[in-house]
Amino acid sequence: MHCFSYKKALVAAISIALLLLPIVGCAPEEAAPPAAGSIHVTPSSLELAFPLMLVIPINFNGTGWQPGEAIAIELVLPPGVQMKGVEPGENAPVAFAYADEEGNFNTSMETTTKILTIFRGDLDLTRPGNVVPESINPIPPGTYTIEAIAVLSGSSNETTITFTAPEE
Amino acid sequence: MEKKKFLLLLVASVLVALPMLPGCAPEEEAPPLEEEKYITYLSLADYTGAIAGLNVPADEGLKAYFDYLNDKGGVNGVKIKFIGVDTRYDAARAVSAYRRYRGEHKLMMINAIGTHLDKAIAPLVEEDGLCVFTPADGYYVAHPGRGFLWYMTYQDMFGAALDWMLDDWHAKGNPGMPTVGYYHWDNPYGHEALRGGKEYAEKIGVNLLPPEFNPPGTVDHSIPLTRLADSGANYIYIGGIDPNPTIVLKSAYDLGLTEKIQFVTDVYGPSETVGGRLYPEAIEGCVVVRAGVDGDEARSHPLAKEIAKYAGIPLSDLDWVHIMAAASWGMTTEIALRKALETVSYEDLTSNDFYKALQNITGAEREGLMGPIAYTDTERRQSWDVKFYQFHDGKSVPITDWRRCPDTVSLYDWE
Repeated sequence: MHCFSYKKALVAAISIALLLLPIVGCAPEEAAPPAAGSIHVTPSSLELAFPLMLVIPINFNGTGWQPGEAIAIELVLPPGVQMKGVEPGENAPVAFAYADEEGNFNTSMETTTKILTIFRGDLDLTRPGNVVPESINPIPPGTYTIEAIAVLSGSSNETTITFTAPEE
Repeated sequence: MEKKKFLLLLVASVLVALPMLPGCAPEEEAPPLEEEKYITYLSLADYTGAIAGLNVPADEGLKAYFDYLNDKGGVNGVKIKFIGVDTRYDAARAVSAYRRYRGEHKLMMINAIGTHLDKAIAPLVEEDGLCVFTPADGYYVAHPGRGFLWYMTYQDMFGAALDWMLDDWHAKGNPGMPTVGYYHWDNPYGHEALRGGKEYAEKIGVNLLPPEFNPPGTVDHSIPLTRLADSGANYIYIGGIDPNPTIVLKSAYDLGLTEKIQFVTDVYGPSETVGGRLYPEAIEGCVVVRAGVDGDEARSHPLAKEIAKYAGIPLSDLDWVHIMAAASWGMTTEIALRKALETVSYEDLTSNDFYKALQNITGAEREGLMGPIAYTDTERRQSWDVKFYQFHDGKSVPITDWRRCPDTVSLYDWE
């Protein structure tokens, strides 16, 4: 009787193990990406005033990233907001950085990126100042998500920035 | 009875588990499109930004060449897939584009349309073991890595221009040495030719005037040009991407300086389809340093007809930049791929094999469209040879055969 119970338990255990095998054995092999560091933007709110915003620094900084890691900083575009060079559903890149040895980064949005992305404008090297004034078409005012994405590992984090309509 | 139930359960479990086991094998790379063998070429391009006027025809020529090559069966049956991404000449967009496309099937080669784009992705390229075509900064020659130049460096071109000026000066029976002005954009590209070029001028004894710079977009160049003329310039070397050099020449023409001073431009100087159509009278007599063939000489090449056909443009609209891109980026990629496939099968081909191959195609010819390939394990110049053209009635006419550039990079202190 005892012998039969032992066999019964063994068969039951093997059966359960075999049933679980397809689930456990086929779990994705990839290790989870390392935890992403932080991202902060300063200022967190500013007016969509052209050309005033071009001289206001928009800084991004973060901590807790992998040392030397490349970080793409992108603006998440709401559905319907179109932009040259950005396919529907894609984010609009606004900056990039490489983390230092301590995993910190500090970077800012380039002036040309502000023109091309925040103001959706065109550049022309034959024009004084290189901006085509009639092309300026700021993104709609609102609160936007900023994503910081590690280029190689894919780990990411986010923050927000608010663009307000310029005062009349 | 109980025993039978358990045995039945065991058998059922095995039957459920077994068919799923093959699904647990490591996932193989998805088969290429329609089982085609291909590698991927990624262009981090500018189709709607500041230098779209240069990059649109360039990638048009490149893609036409790849289409032509692929229609002929590719390289030993391996085709080249072209992906062009409009970064608008923005480094942030280049990094994000790199993030999106770095996993493409057998990605081997990337083109960065600006030095700043390449510098933004360089550590990633190194990490991923890829290769990049990059414009013409001396830095890449002084620090050989995974950045491979489109042709020679800007300073080498300037050195070649100085050599030509010296020859021209003496050929005209003038005594002593000429006085040369330098007028360029006030940005890293505009200053680059002097990093080694200035030292080369000193070395050969040319009197190089203090350089003058202008912000891109300047319309009236009369004050700095007059200053250079008043300082005794016999030749003025101008930079910038057409139509900017054409606009400089228009200022010089309006001042009557093109009659007295020989103007010479760098590789991006007037082209027949831009400056040649805009102000043909202003660019008359201007000399251009080209890294590849230009004008009717380019259009009469048998390959030109194919490129125009595949690009869907009339042959008359085919410019030097179409041909340069087809030769510098297209044919070089093709030659390196062919070399790599001599040593490794397509299935085993990695970007590192391609990197090694690029350094092992020294001396390869590109049907005379550019000079022979100069890459080695320590050399990142693609070629040493330039040709000089002169504009007459809006047409670019060759005035020299291929001339070897001097090595000006080694004269500069890069530390």
